[in-house]
Amino acid sequence: MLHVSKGKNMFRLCLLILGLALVGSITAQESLAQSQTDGSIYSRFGLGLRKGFTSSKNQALGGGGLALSSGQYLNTANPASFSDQYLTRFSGGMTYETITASAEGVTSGRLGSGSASGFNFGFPLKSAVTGLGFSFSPYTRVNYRVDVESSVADDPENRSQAPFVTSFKGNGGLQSISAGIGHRVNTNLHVGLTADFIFGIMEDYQQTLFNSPSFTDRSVVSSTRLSGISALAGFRYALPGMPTNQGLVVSGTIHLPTHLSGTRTRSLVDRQDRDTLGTVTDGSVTLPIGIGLGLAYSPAPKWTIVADVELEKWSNFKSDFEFPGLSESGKTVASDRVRASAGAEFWPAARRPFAPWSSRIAYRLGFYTEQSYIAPIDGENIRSIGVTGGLSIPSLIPGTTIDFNLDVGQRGTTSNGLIQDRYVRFGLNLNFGERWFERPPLG
Amino acid sequence: MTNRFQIPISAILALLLVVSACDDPSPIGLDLVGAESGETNVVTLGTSYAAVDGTADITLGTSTEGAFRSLFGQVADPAAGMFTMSGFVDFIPSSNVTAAFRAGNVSFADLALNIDYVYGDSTQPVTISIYDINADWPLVGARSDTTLAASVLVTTASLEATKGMVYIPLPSNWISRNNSILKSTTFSDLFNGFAIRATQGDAILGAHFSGSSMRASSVPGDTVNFSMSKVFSAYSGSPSSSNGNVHIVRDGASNSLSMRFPIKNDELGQVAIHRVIFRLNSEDLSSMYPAGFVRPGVTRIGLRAVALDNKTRLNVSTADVLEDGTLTFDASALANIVQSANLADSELDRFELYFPNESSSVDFLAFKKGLPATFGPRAVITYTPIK
Repeated sequence: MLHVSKGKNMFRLCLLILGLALVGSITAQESLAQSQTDGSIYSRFGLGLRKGFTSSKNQALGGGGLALSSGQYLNTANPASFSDQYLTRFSGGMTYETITASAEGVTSGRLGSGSASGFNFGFPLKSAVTGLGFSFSPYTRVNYRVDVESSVADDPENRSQAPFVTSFKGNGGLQSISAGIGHRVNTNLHVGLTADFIFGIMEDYQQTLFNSPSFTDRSVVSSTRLSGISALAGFRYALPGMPTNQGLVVSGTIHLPTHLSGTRTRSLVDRQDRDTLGTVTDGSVTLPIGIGLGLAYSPAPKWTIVADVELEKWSNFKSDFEFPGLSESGKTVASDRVRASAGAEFWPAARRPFAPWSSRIAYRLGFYTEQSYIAPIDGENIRSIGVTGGLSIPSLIPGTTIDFNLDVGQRGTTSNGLIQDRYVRFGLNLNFGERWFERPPLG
Repeated sequence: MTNRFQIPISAILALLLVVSACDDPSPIGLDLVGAESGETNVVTLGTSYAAVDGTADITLGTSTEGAFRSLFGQVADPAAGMFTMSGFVDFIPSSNVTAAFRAGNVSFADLALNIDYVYGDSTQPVTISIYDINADWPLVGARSDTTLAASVLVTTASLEATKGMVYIPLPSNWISRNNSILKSTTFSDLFNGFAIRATQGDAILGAHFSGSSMRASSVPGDTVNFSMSKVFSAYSGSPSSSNGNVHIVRDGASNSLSMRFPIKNDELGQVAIHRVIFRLNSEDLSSMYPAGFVRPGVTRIGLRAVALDNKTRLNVSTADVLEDGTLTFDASALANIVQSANLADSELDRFELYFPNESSSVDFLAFKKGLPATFGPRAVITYTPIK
């Protein structure tokens, strides 16, 4: 009966995550492949703002976590950690972000957008030795909107004016579908490899919108469609000789350079038609190599502290297509992206599976700083800094949690005619784990 | 799922719904966006080509569709010149043909015409000649430049150029010649109607379906009605104007006003079209007419797009003629057609004014020629340049 009850709970939770995804789509007009809402103006530049979803735990610890090992989460930041799995695990969630954009001498504008954070799925081939992991997550995201109100002569012969809004919008981005394997080589060393299929469409619109049926709203849109295969390799090494109940782990990952091929199309769009302007342009883009280093230190079972540095060599970026802020007449002006983060987790119930419910809540705190790979104006790379936090609420099903994350930060500056974004991201993630594919013991 | 989950999740969903409604986009960041297109603007274009030409009106009608009156007469219009119309009418027996009617000989027949349209000099009568038509004539698609042959003169009559019912007796020799046809159960196949032509007068009259018929009787007091089933009008003469500053566009004739505007990519540039207004001003020529000259006027006119093959025509919009003579065509279909032409994505050749088939009149509009500044035909286009 206990198994039946758990099965029902699992089924209800699955329905819940589907419902959440649906509500997320309705409230924010968002899907993974195509976003339709409002985010940072800086997502206009390059291939969009770099994104990623590795696990809700990593999110709350500043976004790093390359060295984290856990049977409770599928950590796609480092495929070496796939070897930790002893449960079949599915996790996913959504993020809602509000941005207050400000500039010198301009009233603040507020924008909001919702999106699916990503989905992970993994299971052990051999419990805690070899595991497979699959994920679907954003790689970059283009999501901005700038509205300018204006008016034009409705009819020059009657001298009335017709108000309209010119809306500069961007949406889309690159997504990543990954499949990988992790293996524990020995007690200390874990290695892993992931193959990524990166694909997506980035669209920049200029819409002219009239609030009158006498006028036809039309948009000029530039669409860039890209796709290609990439690979991520990683290791994790637990340093031997640490005192009892303490641990120190080092890790590293390397994301190989990736060749994406694609097309660019300009179109004129109205409610009914989409007319291609000119010819479709073929081209390719080479994503740069990325290197990550991470540390995880556990001074006591209840505590985990992580620190990470990631470097992406965008200075080697190559593209046949022009991207705002990234390439001028074929000359790359991108710079390397550097991201550093650190975080700490306090989990009172560590190693006590039968601790009271309140003790099984995990508390997380982190921070990060990032220098973006793009510069909206020459020499002005965009920097972000933020603080993260999260709660992991256990369910009655062992291995399953609901995680609430918060990310408060700012991006950019108001100097030199730039924009400063102050953002608050709220994440809701569901993390299921159950024993599947295992033969029940006879008798 | 336990209540422990339900409460926080419900709260989160409610929160998401609330915050998602707090969107307040602004022009912040405008300096950082790259324009895909230019600034929205309005331009008034004059015609690059305007001429009176085109296909003749469809003037054939049945009791259910098309023209609803037959027009006949001749007029020397002080503004638009000589114009002549020949009318054609056909009949079918109504359902109350009695056995007694078929058994006897037809002793009386006449035409009852409901004259509900008068264009021209109403002070002098119009003399008409009525002819037999020997051959069947088409039911659909006949245009006013179609020639229908008439054969034997049946009778003549002089009609006042005023509205009202007129009755024209058919002569006894015609009755005896058509006695068996009038009584036949295949009357509709055997009888082909009458042609009506004017020989004198200075007006064009119109006989409406409603109330117009041929009547015949073989038994005193037992009259059979043959309802008017088909009408057609054919014109001769070309419109002309003593005023060279106007285009004369006459209903019932072969003279649409064709117009081209410089809307193509190499003329206007590649643009996103938001609205197109076509506007024309018709001239008030009332001072040219003597007392007693009646012009019913034109209240509505249509605009259609003509393809390069000069055959394909798409009715786009209709416009009322306002009291000051202005016509304005303003329809989203117009913007879409111009947009396709601008993107070289259509076979559009020109636009053309036309009179709706249902108008059944012979009046005309005189449109001012020239530039927009002098109230010539013009297109007011709201557009955004595409870079």
